[in-house]
Amino acid sequence: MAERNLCTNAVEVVVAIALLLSAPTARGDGGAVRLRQTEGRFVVTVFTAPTPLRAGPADISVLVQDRDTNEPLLDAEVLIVLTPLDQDGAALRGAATRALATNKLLYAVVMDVPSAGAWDLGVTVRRGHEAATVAGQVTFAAPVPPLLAHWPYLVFPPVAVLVFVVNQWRRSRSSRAS
Amino acid sequence: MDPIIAAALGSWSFPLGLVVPVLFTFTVYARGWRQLNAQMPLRFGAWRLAAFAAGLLTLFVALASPLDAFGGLLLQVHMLQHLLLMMVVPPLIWLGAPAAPLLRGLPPGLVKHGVGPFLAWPALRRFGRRLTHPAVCWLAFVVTTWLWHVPALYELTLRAPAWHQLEHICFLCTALLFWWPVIQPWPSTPLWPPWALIPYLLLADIQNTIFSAWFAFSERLIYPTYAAVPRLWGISVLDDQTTAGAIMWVPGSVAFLIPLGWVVVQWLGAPSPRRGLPNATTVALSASGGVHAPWDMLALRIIGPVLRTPYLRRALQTVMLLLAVTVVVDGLSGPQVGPMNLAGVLPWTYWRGLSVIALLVAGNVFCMACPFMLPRDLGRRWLPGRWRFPKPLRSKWLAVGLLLLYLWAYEVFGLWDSPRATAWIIVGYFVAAFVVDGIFRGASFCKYVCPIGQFQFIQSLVSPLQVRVRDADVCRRCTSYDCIRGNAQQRGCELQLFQPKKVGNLDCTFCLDCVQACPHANVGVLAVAPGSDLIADPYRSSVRRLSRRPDVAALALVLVFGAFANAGGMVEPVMRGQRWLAARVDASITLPVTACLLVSLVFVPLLAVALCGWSGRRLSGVREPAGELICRFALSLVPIGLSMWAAHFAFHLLASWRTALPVAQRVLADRGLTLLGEPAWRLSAAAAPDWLLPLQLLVLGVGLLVTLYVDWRIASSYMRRGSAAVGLLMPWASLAVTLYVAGLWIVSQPMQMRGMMMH
Repeated sequence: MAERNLCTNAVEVVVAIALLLSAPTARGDGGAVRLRQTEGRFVVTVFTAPTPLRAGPADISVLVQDRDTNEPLLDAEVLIVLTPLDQDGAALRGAATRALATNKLLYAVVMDVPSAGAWDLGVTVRRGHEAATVAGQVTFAAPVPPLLAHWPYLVFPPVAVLVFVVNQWRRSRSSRAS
Repeated sequence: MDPIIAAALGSWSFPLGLVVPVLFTFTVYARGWRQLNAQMPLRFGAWRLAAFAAGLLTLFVALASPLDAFGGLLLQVHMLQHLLLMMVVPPLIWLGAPAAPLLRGLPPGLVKHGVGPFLAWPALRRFGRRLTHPAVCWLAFVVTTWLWHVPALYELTLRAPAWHQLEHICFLCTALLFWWPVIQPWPSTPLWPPWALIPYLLLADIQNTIFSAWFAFSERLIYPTYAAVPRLWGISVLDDQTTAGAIMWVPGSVAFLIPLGWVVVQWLGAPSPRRGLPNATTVALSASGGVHAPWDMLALRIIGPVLRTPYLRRALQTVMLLLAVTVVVDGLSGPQVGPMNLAGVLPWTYWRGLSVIALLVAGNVFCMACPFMLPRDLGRRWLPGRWRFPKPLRSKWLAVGLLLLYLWAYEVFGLWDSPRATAWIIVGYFVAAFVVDGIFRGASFCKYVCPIGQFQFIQSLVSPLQVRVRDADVCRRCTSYDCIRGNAQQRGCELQLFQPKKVGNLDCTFCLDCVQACPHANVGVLAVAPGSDLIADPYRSSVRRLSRRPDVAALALVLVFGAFANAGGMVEPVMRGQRWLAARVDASITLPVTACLLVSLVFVPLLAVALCGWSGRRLSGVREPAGELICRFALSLVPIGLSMWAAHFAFHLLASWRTALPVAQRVLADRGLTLLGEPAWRLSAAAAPDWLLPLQLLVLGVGLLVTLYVDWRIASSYMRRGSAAVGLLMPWASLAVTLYVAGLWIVSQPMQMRGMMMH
């Protein structure tokens, strides 16, 4: 029995690591301040990236501070809800965590926004028995075509060809000179 | 420690775009430094290595540590980051005198033929001299510093990461320029007398003082963004700005004054400037000595002996055989849903992806671990096995047909989602291997029949490792020829590859029988430049010249175009088109799929190579027969084809790499074993990582470049005149670019999530 538990625990650890490794990493340390509100005992600041926001993966990070001391609070639960305003569709929900953030004072999550337009952004913060919700509107622009978003990877082959052409030209010049 | 401080200090990131170049640069430097240290210990002491490593480490700290994470919240942290980039990293890098070690650390051929022509280019040397002129260096540094701190530009960098990165690149580059005349890294020579560095550094310090004072004494906020972000640790926005000014002022000035003092001391007691020193290329090349023996995997301390042991191959084959049997059992008895069955996951998600990775980083590892070895051996033991394979079939044409059949069946029968069909294919493979090698002599199944083997043979022409002789002289003196004949302990090459005349990886199964048979230990697993096997056309043992093997060219073309057809068949627009066609002609989906495959695998390749062969001859005036040209240039497309296979299989592997665990849990649970717990099916449904598309674009780009390079080298071997070579090359290069563009289109389309619980 103990052996089975040990094995099951090991599998759970593997599952957790697998989930962790494959989760998209939020940067959560930059972008624009989208929302800053004081609600209950919390001061909640919401950052978003990229700027401007576009449909597709959006990095949303939240700093939760104590209203009185301004100290960052590190043991809260943060839930993000994005609701489309000018179209039909289900709301997107995501739990922002410090593990996903680069800046470990922030709670971050990457949310895959399916379409451009205005969305209602709601952030619920819970800490012990206290809870607060702040809300605002965000507008997502149309997504950049995937190839355009990764243009440096498309530029390197022609650049390499150009460098090679110059290299061959120099080699032929020097061999002719010698 | 206070948990908030601990959390702040734990805010590190490890961006691949920084980590990989830093590690690569250090590896190249350390490799070159080690050689130079042995030859010039005084010039290249350990302190140079330490300085260079410290420079790279500081760069990493500046861009990946909490300094970067908090730079957008606190101006003082941001200024500290800039200080490291501009005042600490560049002098440390130059103290490492990196030119010679970096050049020495690269392969000599690359330095001589790749970098050398640029370093010897008079125009580039003139440009370099002007760029490193102290006046230019000083101005570039100062102007860049001031320009990027203009509020409009600085605010832009806080909003947009791309501008922020550009700002850092400008800071680093101009700071490298600024510190060049100060450190004057060996073997460069100063353009100005040493005393000129005194006003150079003093003036820089004065402008830094003015700049810092602007921050320190300003009573209004210079960058409004910092007023909008939350304040941390009770630091007010103006206090933050003042501290930022102080950081630039005091440590910034120290960074200028320390070298200033050093320059003064040196000037007062130093000899005249060095003249006539060699340039870094000369040092790197002259010091590199004679011909280097290629890197040999068998010479490695641990891996070498392990690879040489005959038990390794048996162990690998046994593991693969057990896996194949498990796949067959589960494919026939388990649920007929691909992502829930071992027959849907192990072969189509894992094996394909991993074998292509193995081809890219090593070679034909699959054949080494072939699970069909046991039925082949049993066939030879139980069946007569005395006939030679029929002469008309002793080519790759049979394999071409079988590969076409496989690619057709894969699409029409949806093999990736049909565990039972997958299991029967594996069973069929076992039977075929048993019968063919049981009836015919040698490794007829591997050489003429096995489609997987042919895939591996063709793709391994681009692999970086080859099994070949270490020293040709040793083979010339050899009279026993054990590598092909075998001896009492070890059989020789089953595929009739005679090591002294073996060229490249075609038909090589990486079995290492020749390694074990050679009494002189003269066969190694040696490194080669990937793709070099495709350039020359020597006589190859048991293969002959590839320019006279249309069957090999056809095999290569099927695999190249098959890569695009196979990946294209899973993207939404193609599938939509096939459904539309099926509706128009009122037929099942089989007809449009068959038509698409016929066009993309037969008609288009035939037409394309015929057109390229004909127009290449017309444009260049080459006299060689079109057939020979087609045979050679068709093989040059293998790299772009392999890159498409890699990009395609990487998608499956990276999007579903966790699927094996829930499937294994399900297999055990079906047999009443709950050892691994209940199947965690959520692991099977995940999105591909966000770095997958950049990786695919990178792989395709590299594949295109290797193909173009091979094209150029083949064309140059026929035509000495550059313009004629370009004429011969152009049609084939256009075909390669067309395939590349097709690949870009395919990877940018929504793809069917095969092998996952989210079709």
